[in-house]
Amino acid sequence: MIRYDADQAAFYREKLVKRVEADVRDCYQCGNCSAGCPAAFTFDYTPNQVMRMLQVGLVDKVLDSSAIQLCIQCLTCTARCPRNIDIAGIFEDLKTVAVAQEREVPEQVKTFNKAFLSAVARFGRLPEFYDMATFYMGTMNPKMALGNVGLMVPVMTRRKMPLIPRRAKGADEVGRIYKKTMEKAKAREKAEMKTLEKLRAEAAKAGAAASGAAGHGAKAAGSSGAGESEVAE
Amino acid sequence: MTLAYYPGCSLRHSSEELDHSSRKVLEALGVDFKEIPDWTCCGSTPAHMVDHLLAQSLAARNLRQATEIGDELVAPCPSCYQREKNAAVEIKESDEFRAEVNEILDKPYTGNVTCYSLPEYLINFVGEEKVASLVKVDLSQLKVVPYYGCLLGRPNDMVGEESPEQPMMMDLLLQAAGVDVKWWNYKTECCGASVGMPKEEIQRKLSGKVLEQALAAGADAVVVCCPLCHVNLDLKQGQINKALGTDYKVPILHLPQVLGLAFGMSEDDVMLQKNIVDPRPLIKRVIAEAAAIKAEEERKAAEKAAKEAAKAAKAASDAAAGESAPAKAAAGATPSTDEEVTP
Repeated sequence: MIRYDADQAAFYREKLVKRVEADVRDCYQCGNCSAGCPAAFTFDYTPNQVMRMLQVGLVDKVLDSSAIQLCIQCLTCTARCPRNIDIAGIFEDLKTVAVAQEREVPEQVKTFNKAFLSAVARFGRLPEFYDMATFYMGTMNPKMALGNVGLMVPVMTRRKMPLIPRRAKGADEVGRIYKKTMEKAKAREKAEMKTLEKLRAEAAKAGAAASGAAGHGAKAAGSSGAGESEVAE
Repeated sequence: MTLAYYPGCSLRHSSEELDHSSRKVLEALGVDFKEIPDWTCCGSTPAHMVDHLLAQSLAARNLRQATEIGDELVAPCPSCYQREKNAAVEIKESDEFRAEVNEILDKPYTGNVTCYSLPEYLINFVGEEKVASLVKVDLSQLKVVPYYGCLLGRPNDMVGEESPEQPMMMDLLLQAAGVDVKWWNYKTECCGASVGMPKEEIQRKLSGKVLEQALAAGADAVVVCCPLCHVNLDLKQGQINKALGTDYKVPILHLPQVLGLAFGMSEDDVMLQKNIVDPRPLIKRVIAEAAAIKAEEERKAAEKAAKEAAKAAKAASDAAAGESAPAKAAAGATPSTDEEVTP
């Protein structure tokens, strides 16, 4: 079942205006973003569809989509948008939301980011071989790993990658940066979810009051005669 | 003032040749630079895909380290450059955000560092004339396409290009170095970037298209700045061929490698042996071709000069003969005609 959530849509719209200075309402569906997107052929929804979904209140569907996961952040859409909407910025921000909400997202991008960042947090500088090894282990997809073993031959013969990672001098600080920001992001997301719930409750209350009022109105109209109710309709 | 040099993780190992050739070229051009002490990862793509504050704080730590050297930073890797610049600009614009970042860092970042990519720095502070003045090797037969990828063209106001669709800095530098730069439409198309790891089909299709278009433009090699573009086009070229059923064998060169070669550096100086698709036969061939063309031109010029000399000599002898000939004719003819009659 499709659930259109206007409160959630309004909440994220305002958030995006604040955080990336982009208003999803500016989109008039010209499709330039999707035409230029190099990765859209693998997306479940094209960029212009994502924009429409954000407008009408299908934010949850967007947050669970492969589109925001597989976006390369090449910025072609942003560069070509005739309404100057930072579409890539919107995708980037929503991706961070999906991470903070710990959503089960499609594709292996989450595994890749996690392998990369935990390696950096531990060693300060990216140990490339270690990162690749942990990523392919994380994918639980031995076929994918085996398909890339061949790459190691030219890399090794040209001595382009040491196998054993070394810790850089600033690694401790980098580790702390990672830990602190991740904790902060989770706390912020929690607070935001609370705000959204509050907004929803308020909207529901106002809605009930409004429908109550409308009900009274209808009754009043009904009691006062058929002509008026037609006008009311 | 000394320039702070940020190598980044890729340049330490998998793209060592980019680091090495960048340093060599900067030295040759007389740029005073020093590596940032205890730099760490810029956060790259994963950091800004996971959390904004994480990305900006990781980059800000390096900006803080850079202030130990100066307030200008150059990062040959376009990804590092974008991350560092992005953080530097946001922090400079907002004191509130600076405070937020400094809360995360061990020691606060209080400076204002300006970040440059390698082509941006060379165009703005070294200049094409200086580059051209150092050229010692004729690379006019090296046909290349400059590949900017995503990070040196967009957002164009940030990277200092006039147009996001038509960046020019690499073109200008390569032309100054005397290379035959071909015009093509794939300057700023994406190679697949880091999504090439978790979603291989994207990278294979996009990188394959870049190689196809480079050849269609009449290029023998692609020149890149980005180490990740290099990995995707060079190291993974075999995978692309396998996936697409193609047979590409296109050398992928780093911009400073080409500049270094033009400045007369050896293949080892710019580490051509580290590239996967071996560019050395191509470089040898184009230098030999240029020499042959030069020799041919010299031969033609000499021939022309000889011909002209012969012609001049003939004309001189004709003139000399001509001077006596009319005299002879005059003497031979000697009809009883008036002086005014001319044949």
